[in-house]
Amino acid sequence: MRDFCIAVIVIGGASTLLLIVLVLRRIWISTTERTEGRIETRIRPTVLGFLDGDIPGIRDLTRRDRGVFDRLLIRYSNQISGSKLDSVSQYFSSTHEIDREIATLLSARRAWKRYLAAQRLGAINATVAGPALIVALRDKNFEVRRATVRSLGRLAVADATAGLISALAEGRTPDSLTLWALLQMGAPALETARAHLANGDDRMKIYAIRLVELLGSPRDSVAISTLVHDLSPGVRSAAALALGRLGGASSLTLLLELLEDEEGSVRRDACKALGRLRDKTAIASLLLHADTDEFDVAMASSEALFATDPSILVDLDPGAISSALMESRDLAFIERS
Amino acid sequence: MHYFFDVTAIFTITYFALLNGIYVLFTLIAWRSLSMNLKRRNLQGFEEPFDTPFIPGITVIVPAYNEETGIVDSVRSLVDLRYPKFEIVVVSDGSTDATVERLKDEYDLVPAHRAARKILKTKPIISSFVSRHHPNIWVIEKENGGKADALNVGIDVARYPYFCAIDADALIEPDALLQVAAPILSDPDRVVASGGIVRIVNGCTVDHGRVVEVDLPKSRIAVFQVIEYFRAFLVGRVGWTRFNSLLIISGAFGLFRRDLVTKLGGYATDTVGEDLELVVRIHRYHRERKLDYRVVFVPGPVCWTEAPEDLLTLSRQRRRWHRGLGQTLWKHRAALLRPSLGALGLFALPYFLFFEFLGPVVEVAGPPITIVAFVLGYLSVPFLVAFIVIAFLLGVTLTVAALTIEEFNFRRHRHPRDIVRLLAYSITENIGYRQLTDLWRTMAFVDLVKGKTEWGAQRRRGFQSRSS
Repeated sequence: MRDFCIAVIVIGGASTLLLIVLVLRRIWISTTERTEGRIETRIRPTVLGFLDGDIPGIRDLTRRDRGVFDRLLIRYSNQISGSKLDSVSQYFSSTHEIDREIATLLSARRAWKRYLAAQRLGAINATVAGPALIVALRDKNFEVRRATVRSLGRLAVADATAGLISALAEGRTPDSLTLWALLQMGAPALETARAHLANGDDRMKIYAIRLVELLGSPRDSVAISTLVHDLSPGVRSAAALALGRLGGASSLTLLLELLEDEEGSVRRDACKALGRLRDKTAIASLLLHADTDEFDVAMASSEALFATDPSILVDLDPGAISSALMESRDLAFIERS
Repeated sequence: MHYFFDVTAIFTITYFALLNGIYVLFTLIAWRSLSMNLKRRNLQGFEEPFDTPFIPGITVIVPAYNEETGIVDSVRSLVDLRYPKFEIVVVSDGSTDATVERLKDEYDLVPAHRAARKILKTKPIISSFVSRHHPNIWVIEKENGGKADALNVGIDVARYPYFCAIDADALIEPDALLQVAAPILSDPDRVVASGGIVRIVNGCTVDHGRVVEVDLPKSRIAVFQVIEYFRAFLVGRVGWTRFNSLLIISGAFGLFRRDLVTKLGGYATDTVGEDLELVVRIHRYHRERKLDYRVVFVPGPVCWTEAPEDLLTLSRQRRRWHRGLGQTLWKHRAALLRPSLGALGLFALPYFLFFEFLGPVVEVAGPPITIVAFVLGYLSVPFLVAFIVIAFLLGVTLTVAALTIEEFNFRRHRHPRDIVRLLAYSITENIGYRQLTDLWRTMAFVDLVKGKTEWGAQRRRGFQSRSS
């Protein structure tokens, strides 16, 4: 009976405690929300004024107002750029918020604190935090590294290019996010990417091609051309897609050559690239590939034909074409009507 | 006879202790995991960069069978999704109502051939349509073959490397696709599937495919389900994700790698629990080959779905779910207790067999055995009272913990009266509702023995719009 009583007291106590926490939390949140909502409405003009250069407006703010002010500023910083964004970072620098966040990023024991610091540094446009963020690319926690990459991209820290590339190569950071961050760096990332076109690691070579594809100019197609005969199908595919976007004198010939590649994925991407080039001399080859049994190749080829010259598709005999061509043909009809 | 009752008592106590031990463990895990959400909340809006050309495309597949009441709202919620590259493929599984006509009227659909890979065996496609105004909306009409078959058609015609299966009576929040894809974007080499949270839309106000006001349903049966969903998603799935043994990614909202699912043969058409079966197959495939992978639950992204409000529809749903569980466990019986499959073979599958599948039988058999024991004088009444009180209190505590997790992290129910109602229902669900669902689940054994395969009619009320 004694054990039973103890069990009932423990479970009942836990339940009651949870209930109390639930009720108190609800009361606290409701009160805070109401109060902060009022403050937000009151100081929103001050925040907007500050972003327009009205610094004196913030001097009269109380401590609590400042908290709401900071939060609003961070929220707005996601939607502004140029001198307004600079004023945000200057403000947080003057309040020593940036120094505090950098210290947290580099030395906090708990990963979530480092994660939040990494994220906030990007949000408040703390360009001075570049070196600290580069160090944090080697943080032991994946989430912290992810937040760091995001902030480095947001801040477009040119010095981080090498660090980001090596993080990519070692698989320390997410591919899509890291490539996005590198795209934000612009010219420095392009230079690094060009240097990596000859990298011995296929993965790195593919990343480099993709960056050159998005940041480069038709002049880069010469360097990319040398990769269409690479041993790795992934590299050949990436090179094909890049040639399609960059253009260049020999791109069409090389892409037509790649249509005969032994790998289906390369042929598919060569079709996609030809669709980007929209050169009518490729139509005959594309029609041939749109009629193959390989679904992805046929589909990419049909879509390329649609992009190049939809009128070609309209004239096709529906009884004698592949399913992929049929789809593009119907879409061409719809577009014309 | 005495021996029988002694064994029964020991079995019951052990069963009770193990089950509740797991619940408590999962509640603690959920509390800890979700607390991170709370810390991140202030930086909402700074999530994954949206404008990256490296983001993979997603095909949203909506299998629909006689969904004329909600299909337009559902698709409207998908059109508004905030994701850079996606297409919507509604697959009408031989609908006999105006499902396709409603979509034709709303989205100006015109006939267009849709090419299919024809890798997965499915019932034939009858016709296909594309929207003139939204070229990323396709509607495929096919012969009736069940939900799994419709999903397989969707996979077969999908253009993007990932697909998201969404129920036709579901509403997806604008950021949900981006959020559910976040683990895949972060770790595309390992994460092969992810699922979001499903919440109940009954009682909520819907405007143009969006839930604009969250309220509790008026129907008591639906409120009980709100509580069940909190426990299942905020505690159960977070806990299973921790052990990389999440077996259920709801059919209402799940994201998968297309090439993997195609390689595995698509959704199984010989079970009514196709969502569960697919995830178990994904786990087995990777574990048997010692591949590094993750199947994850993301608590942020929300899919709103309509819950049954009458006992008949609810009973059909529960019997169907239980049947699906039984069929899946039978199909994967070879994986049970296999040490080489790690947590899947030694923890997740045994849990689902002993506690989820056989649990209702234990709970339904309990009262008659207790009465017999009492009549024959084998029952210690103080012990029985103690057991019932502790079980009741523990049940309420775990539910309150789930509610607290919801309140701390998401706080979707803004009205204090909703919280009070939920608390009241979390106490009363132990008296009647729980026993009823156990009874229905036990009746599913009869369906299994009979070899029942159909889904049973669904009664839809449609969403409560702002104007109504």
